[in-house]
Amino acid sequence: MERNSCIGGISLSLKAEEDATCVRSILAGCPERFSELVNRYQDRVFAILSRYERDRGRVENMAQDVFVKAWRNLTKFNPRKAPFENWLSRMTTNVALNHLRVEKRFRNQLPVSQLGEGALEWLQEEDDSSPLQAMEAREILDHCMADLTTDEHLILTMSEIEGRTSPEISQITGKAAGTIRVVLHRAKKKLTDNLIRLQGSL
Amino acid sequence: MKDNETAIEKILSAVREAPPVITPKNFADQVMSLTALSSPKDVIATDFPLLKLAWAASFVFAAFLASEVIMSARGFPSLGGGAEELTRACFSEIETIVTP
Repeated sequence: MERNSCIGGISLSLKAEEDATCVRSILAGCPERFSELVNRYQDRVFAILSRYERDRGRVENMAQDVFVKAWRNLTKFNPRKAPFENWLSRMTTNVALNHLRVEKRFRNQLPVSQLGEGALEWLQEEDDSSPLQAMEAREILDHCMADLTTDEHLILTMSEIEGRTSPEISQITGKAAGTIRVVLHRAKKKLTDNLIRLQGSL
Repeated sequence: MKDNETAIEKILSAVREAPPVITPKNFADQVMSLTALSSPKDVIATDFPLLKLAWAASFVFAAFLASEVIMSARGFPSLGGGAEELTRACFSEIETIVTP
């Protein structure tokens, strides 16, 4: 058991070292090596962004934005502070946060009529055990999260959907762990209230 | 009506299990074509002159302030006063040329 975790630890640091070497090589005049980093982390970036946006085209644009930003800021990357993967994850979350801010400006509470038939049916059913498809769940969640602040939206997504821990969220957002717990509690309360309101309006 | 806690957990769990948007096959090429126009060093080249200019401006301002303090402490006319006098002299010269 110990041996495995030890091997895991070494492989992680090797990966971080490999990334750092790649960055050094890009800055030394081999820009084509950036494609190695893109290939290595593109799925991870798409997975994170998919938690914040459903539209395929928008996710793609945001992912491009993440990598272009990473490229432009590559000189600021310091492998001694954090591994490339964490640095890129933070950048991805910032792009998602900016996207949420822009979306919030244009999108207030969505009308119930925008919910699909499947989502409406599920909400009206009395039975707790009735199955719920991912797309329908997403529609309901988007509806219930519409009046959450960008911070509440971000922290709730990171914690409840991405499955990140408070210290991880704290590291990425720069907020204190206590603040994260408070925001998360408030966001969950709003989510529940909005679900009750939604079910009541049907 | 469903139990709200259970319903929320069910919604979140379904969203967690949703497959992410699939990365397009040529995504890396798209990114590389976007970054091909510049290199991280170009960014330094555009960032640094502005930074240097800001430092140079701060240095000139600090030097001006220091000279003002030293000159006034030693009883010499200040740079600001000197500049004002010079400007006045220039304007009077121009006035003489324009209205002889």
